[in-house]
Amino acid sequence: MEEDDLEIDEYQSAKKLVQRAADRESLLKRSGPSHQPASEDLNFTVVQDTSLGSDFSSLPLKPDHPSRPCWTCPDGTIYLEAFHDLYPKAYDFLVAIAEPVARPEHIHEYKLTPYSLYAAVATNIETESIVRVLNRFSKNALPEGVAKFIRECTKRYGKAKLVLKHNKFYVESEYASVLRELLRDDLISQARVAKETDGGGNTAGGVNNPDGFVVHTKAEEMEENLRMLREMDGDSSDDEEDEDGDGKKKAAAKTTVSFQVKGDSVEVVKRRAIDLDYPLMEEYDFRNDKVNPDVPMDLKPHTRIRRYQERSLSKMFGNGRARSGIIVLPCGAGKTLTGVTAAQTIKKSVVCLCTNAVSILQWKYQFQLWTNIPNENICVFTSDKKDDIPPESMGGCVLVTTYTMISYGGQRSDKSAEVMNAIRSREWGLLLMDEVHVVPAKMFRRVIGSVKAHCRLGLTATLVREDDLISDLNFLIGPKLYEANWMDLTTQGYLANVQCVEVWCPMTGPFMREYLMADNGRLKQLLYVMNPAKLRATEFLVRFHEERGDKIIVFSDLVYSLKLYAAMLKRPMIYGETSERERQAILGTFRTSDALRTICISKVGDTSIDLPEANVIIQVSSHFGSRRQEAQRLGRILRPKSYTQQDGSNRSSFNAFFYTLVSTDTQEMFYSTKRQQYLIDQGYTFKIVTTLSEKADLEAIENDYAYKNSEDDRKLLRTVLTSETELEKDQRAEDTAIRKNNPDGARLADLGVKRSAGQTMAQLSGGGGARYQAGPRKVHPMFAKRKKR
Amino acid sequence: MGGIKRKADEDVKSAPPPTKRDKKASVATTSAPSAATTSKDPLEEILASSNSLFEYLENLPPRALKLIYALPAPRGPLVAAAVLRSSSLTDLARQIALRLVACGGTFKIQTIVESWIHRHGSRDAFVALRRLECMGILMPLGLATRPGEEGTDIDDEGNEAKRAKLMEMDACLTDQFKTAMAAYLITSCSSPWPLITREQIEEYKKNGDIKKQQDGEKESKPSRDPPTLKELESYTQSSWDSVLHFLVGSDESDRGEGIKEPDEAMVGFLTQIGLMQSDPDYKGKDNSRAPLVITSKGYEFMLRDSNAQVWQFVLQYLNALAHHEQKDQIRVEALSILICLGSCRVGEGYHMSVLGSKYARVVIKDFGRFGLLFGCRIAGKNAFYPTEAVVNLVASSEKAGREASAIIGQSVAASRALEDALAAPVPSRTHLALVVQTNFQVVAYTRSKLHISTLGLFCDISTFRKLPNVIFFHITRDSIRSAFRLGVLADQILRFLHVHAHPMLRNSDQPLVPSNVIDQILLWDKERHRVVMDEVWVHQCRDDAEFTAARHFASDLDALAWGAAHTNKLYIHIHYAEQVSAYVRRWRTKQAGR
Repeated sequence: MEEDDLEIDEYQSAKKLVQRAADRESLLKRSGPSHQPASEDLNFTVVQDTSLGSDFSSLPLKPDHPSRPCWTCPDGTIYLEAFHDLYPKAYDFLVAIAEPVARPEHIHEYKLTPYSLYAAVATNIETESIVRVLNRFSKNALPEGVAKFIRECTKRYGKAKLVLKHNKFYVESEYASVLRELLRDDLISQARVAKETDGGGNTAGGVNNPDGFVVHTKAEEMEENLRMLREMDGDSSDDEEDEDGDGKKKAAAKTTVSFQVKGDSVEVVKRRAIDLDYPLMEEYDFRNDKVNPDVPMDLKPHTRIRRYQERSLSKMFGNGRARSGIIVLPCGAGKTLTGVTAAQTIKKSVVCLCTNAVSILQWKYQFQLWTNIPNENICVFTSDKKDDIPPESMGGCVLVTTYTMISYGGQRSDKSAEVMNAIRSREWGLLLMDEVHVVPAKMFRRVIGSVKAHCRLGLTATLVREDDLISDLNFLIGPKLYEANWMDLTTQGYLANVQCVEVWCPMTGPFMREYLMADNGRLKQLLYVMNPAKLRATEFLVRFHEERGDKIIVFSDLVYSLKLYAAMLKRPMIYGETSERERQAILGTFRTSDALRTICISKVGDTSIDLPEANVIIQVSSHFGSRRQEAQRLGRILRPKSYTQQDGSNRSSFNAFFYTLVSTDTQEMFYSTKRQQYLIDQGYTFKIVTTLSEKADLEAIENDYAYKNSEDDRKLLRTVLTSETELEKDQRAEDTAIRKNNPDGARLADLGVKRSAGQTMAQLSGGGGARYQAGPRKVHPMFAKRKKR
Repeated sequence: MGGIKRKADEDVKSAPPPTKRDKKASVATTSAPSAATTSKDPLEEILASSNSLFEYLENLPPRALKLIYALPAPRGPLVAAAVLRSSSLTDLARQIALRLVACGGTFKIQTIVESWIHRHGSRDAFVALRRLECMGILMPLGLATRPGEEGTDIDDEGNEAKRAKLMEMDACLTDQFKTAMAAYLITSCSSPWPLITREQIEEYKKNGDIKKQQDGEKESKPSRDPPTLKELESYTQSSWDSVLHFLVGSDESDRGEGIKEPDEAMVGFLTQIGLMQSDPDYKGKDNSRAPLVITSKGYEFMLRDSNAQVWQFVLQYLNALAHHEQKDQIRVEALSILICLGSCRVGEGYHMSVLGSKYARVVIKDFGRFGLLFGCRIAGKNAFYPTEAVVNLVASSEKAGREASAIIGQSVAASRALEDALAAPVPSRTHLALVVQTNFQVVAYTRSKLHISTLGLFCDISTFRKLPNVIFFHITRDSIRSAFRLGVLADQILRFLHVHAHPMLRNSDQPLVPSNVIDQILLWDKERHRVVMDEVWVHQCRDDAEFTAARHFASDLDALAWGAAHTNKLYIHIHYAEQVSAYVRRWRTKQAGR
């Protein structure tokens, strides 16, 4: 099938690009030392070899370094002082060009990667401005390797664009030479539309230049996106020369040249361009798209867009055209509104993909809440409900569906097949992908093959995965356009200020004994989840917070224990097998009524269940060391509460609580540390509480808890030990149920935390950095004597 | 049974190897004829634990202090004035002392307590009098307590009679203090010894050249120009750094230029005062060739601020004098020189010849070896220049006093250090400012290898990232635990992090060290005590019956550490091993015979 070829091609192109990016990155590593003076060189490599950290102390420091906020290391790491006067400017700049690795309170860490630079170029930041501004912010003289790396990475990216304008595809560039080089390729030149047939296409003020290229004035980038560059360039009086050069360049950059390519050979051109290492960035000039009908929707007057949402969208629509890319916003920070606004700006037909039925409803609801879209122009496509897609004559439409529905490869019902055909046969303006980090690559390929969209927007809270599939997204969707800082949003009151607490529950004697003797992982897990001290602590916390009037979610990955916890607390629970209707009923009661203050949820609740009222999470069991799950769960309570202060004082008091119960001396301790890493890098702190379980033990006796004495513990242990098979059955049933309902769960249900080695894209999301690399430990010279012989 | 138990106890007694401290105490007893007591010298022990110079003086017997006051002017008067200014006296005590000096030296205590001072202040008045007596300013009143005596509170109900008796007594200044103080007030001389003047140098240059021509390069060491302030500072720093570097054992390459190994006498001194020891793990035959390693006392030393380090050194030096047969004289000389140096200004120099006694010269030479003084030849004679370290030693203990003010003093020092760092384009090697982040990252603004080595004690050194003026470390469980194993305490680490916190943090209302980091370090500390190691003897029983019997016997004996029923293994405390195995043998023969 031709379509199949196409999708695989696109995927393989992405792979190629990823490989190339990795090559470039390794180039940075190698190029580092070679640009040092020879003597330094030796030193440098020695340090690297022994994996004793990295020594860049030989970098020359500028004489006025205190007035500059960053350090730039030869390996592309950038450190930023968050307490520096220039911090706000430097922050905007660094976020645009580098990946944030860790953003605690005082000193941030960023990393230059090919992807981050790719993203920077995509938003029209020029190579030389990056080098110049970075040098200006840097306390130490910019290492040559870094400058070279930046130039190398941005030399070809973004130099040529594929623009969809007036429903015709143009390859556009500021540099005629680039186009000439592209045209030297046979396939591309064949794809070029001959001038004669061009006709009325380029009436928009275009002038043809000697090469036959159409010359246009360049679409100006929004002022806001470039301000940080201008400001830094502007108030520099120290190098006049730069200023002049910049001025000239600006004047030169006003025009672009382009040639048109045939619509049916666009894919070929794209592929060839990648082979030539001029990957085409796609832009969609939606304002001039007269062929695809508009969707009649506008934001309602009461809709207010927050500053950071505006920033993220301005990155997307920076030059009046739509770029593909990913926007990363913390859970609860209004991703949906951002998506809706993006759709509303393009005003063309939209396919909106989510992970499960619950979030479909939420998306539809939000579209109707924020915009005046008519009911008949928004349709839902699920296994239960298959709305007809309105004909094009009625205007564009918004289609909300799940990844599974689109990518399903098996036999479909007639109705379903009909809708799918309608989807395939259409041109879509925007492909909106929620929770884009969970989509398995295979499914992703099918989606992209089925939906012909001119622009793709991915939304996620945590661009982090335990494997390295994130890197593909950079090329399948587009670069990361924006990533918000959790702590800043918290300070500004857009997120609840969460107190993260790790509660240590000592294993009771008999449980510990069984734990030590247990030979399979499942049983071990069950034992530390069912630790009676944990049960008591849970009941204690639930009682405490219910009395305060809080709304509580109890999370347990293990269905067997979820059932037991729910039974102990006498509260309803939601897990994979819970029917949709029951689920909605429970969530509805939880949202609206004070009668139900606590619900127990399995991992189905990790994402996309919107419970704005909840402000306490008690996590009793979790998916091993998944950093993403931890962040997603925290996201359930991040939505600002009615009493969250927006005047900047939000940081001073906590208004939401995230408890993780950990059985001491078990594997859980290890997993828990690993899980927290992502949030710690975002600036969260975990407070460790060791005394709570003692208090809970006392309370248990006083207030007659379900498990209060050692007799109860023994009974519990007996049940636990005899129910291993039941547990297995439960868990399997849960996994199948989840796999059936949403792809997100499928990822989660597939056990096994894949560890990536070497070059990973985990770096994209804060997973990178030396800390994760396990190497042979070297003894510090200080202790060498002691260990000798 | 009991007999065997006792034997075990004896074993225990003989087991621990004689520690350094024991040895030292015994040496002290052999050569400590003075002081009040007999077998051990409590005075020396108290002196050895003094936290500052003036605390040391407080602990000295007034007799020794009076000897110092009696030194010829201007030294005696300078010491008296320094003592008066010091934190050893309360404000009230200073008032009383000065008034007594001005008014003839003798007053009835009743007058002092009742009419000089507000009536609610009588308690403070007695405190002041006691202090004055301690410092050898007043003639003995019986108020001051000496080590080993029970202190009695004069305000207690039961002490009415004693109090009345005391009221009748006269407060009388000691002659030595009175004369010294009077001399100080009249002359207000600020320099303890005659300075080397510019004229002297110039004159020497003129004459010296002629003399040289006449003598024909006879002089062994040529004279030089007086050292500049910068030279003095770098001299102190480098000689001090050399000691510290040697302590932490940094490699040749780690040390900055200009820092050499300390001389042998210094190394000897380091081992003598217990900061270093020869490697206990050394397997070679010749023990004298074992490499030196730092002791836990040494680690504690490393983590203190430099003023405290200097004082520790001086203190150890003073303690070491206890072995000298002329110790009282030397000590008096040393103390007076220390205090007098406190009133010197950095950059002023003195000729060695102005020192009166032989001991004084020895002491000055020793201080020079620590880097406290800069010795050189000026104008044809040996001369010494006090450095900032020694001048500050007196000044800081004069001001610092008690804990609360000590902390402020340190923070002032840290912020001053950073201001200096900001002012100077290339921060000098001495500044250290730490930012501890919530993700357990330690950001240290420093260039000093020494600071990095010190941080390396408790930070993960395998992942450091070093930039020209800053270094990034992570604190991990392993790194902290390895520090604990070396004898560093959690408290020391936290104090170190606090003391050196970045001034930027001090200006905000946030904690200097994030609370989660503090909690975690304390938890890691606690963790160490969770597991108690015990030596046991494992006995594999043949069958259940033997297991039951042996376990019964062992538990009666309180010897049972653990019994694993499903494997029939018994874990017996090692001391009872023989006993239990004997029992098992007996039991087996009994069974066989049955």
